Amino acid sequence: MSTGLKRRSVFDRSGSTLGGRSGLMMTPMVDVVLVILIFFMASTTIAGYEWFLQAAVESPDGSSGAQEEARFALPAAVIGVDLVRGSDGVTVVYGLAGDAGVSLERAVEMIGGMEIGDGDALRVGLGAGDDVEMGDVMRVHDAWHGRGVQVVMRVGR
Amino acid sequence: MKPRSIIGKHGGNSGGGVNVTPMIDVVMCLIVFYLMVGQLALDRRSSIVLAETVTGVERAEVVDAIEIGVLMDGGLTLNGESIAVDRIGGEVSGMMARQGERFGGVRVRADEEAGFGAVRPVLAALQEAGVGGVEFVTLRAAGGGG
Repeated sequence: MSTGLKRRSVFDRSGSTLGGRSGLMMTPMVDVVLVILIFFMASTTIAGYEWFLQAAVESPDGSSGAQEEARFALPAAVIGVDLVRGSDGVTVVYGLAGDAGVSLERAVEMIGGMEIGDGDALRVGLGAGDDVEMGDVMRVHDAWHGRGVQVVMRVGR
Repeated sequence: MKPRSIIGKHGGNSGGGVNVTPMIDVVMCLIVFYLMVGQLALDRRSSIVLAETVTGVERAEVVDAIEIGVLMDGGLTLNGESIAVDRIGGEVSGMMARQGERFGGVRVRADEEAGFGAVRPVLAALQEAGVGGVEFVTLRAAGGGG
């Protein structure tokens, strides 16, 4: 079906409707590009760059949640790591240096320097006091995750 | 200078008719504006400041994950809606049953300044609902490579 309208190129120099001016019409293109630019800038700001740290949840019987293990396989060793907020407001990590607590920075350093043969053979039961900030918990979790060790979040106090 | 009508047939364009270019521009701007405002208003993600981590798992595919938000003041959200802690277990169980095989896991979006005391009851509720694992949403730190 013909509409009688003839499609014109943006480069079309013949029959100009702009009072005799000719050349490429940039205005609509600039408009659209600007809108797209603003949209992508805004969506990047909102979404951020997110990813995920996986953790098992302690099973109700208090075990490390390893239900899928082979029947005759040796159970994974479990290290208990606890974060406690000291009286000075600084988070202290227990479970890495015997009974002594270490600072968060030292704990991350120690985890990074540990000799871990097979990450699957080790699990970490991670617990924290109610007033310990999630940023600190995630930092320790991050350190273990970087070593390929599965973290089990402890629900009990 | 005399203002010209967009449907003016005299003086300017010999083709006549309505000039739709400015209208499309304005409509596009409005669409983008409402999309952004709607996104911000629908969920309360923007009020949660996530912790930065050097490692993490990226998810390319979109899955039907249940998302639990833990705000700095200890408030909780389930898929963007405020919820009381004692309702989380039941709601998550119901969602898991409805999603069936499409169930994409549970994601916890916790503010970095929220206390673990706000997250613990959430994990306990998930434990009772039969959820074996969670994914903590974090921000990729500069230089983080997975």
